[in-house]
Amino acid sequence: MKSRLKILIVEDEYISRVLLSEMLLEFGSCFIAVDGKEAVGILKHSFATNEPFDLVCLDIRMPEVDGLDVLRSIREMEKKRGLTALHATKVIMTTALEDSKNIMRAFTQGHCEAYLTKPIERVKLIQHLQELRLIE
Amino acid sequence: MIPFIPPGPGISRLAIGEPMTSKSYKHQIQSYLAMQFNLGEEQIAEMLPSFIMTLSGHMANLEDALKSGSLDAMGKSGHTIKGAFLNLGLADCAEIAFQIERGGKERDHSVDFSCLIAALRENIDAITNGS
Repeated sequence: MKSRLKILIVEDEYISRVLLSEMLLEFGSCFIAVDGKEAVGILKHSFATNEPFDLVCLDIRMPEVDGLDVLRSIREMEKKRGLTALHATKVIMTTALEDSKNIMRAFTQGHCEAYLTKPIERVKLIQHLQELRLIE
Repeated sequence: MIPFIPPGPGISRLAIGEPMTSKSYKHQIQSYLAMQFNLGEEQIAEMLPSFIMTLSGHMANLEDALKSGSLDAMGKSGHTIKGAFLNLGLADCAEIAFQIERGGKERDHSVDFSCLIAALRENIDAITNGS
């Protein structure tokens, strides 16, 4: 378990982005991407430099490149580098409560580890981080 | 007339055109941020102006979408502002935004978007007044 996590928050809505990063700051360094396209660029660079993220919080519904596309990209990049599930990036999807179809897709197709519905709850977020063994 | 909105906290107030005051909205947001995100008074005071400005921007996008007549744009803008309202603890406003989002995505022409957006505008004005 790392003492400080490297975290990427991908969220196109400002208020959600600020609140999520505020909650996660105590656990590590938070990097921000405001849309899926920017996220894919940041993730590519992190894999290329062999400094991948420990955690990616990924909004499902974003314009152009959505969260499911970013999740697929992450898994493809990991596959190319021969990373096993054990070393795969932990991904928490964030979305609205009524978006159950996309949540299911994220689990079945993208193998995300967890999801949070908006409004984001701090208690649930910490619970997921503990379950994913990212924090104690 | 505003179409039927399922009963919920604040919804009945909105339906009869009596939005909360700026002070009570701000108090509601401050209490929610403190409780839900464990934020201190100073942090909230720092964040609130930018949050209110963001809400105004989302509202303007929604009104632009209405003017353009694009249901798709209204659905997307409704989704964005809904997420913001939810994270600020404004469930009543989020419910109206959700009706706009759903109507837009389902291309439901029977939804009175003008009325729903006017109701949200009234609430946004109440939030921003005095900020």
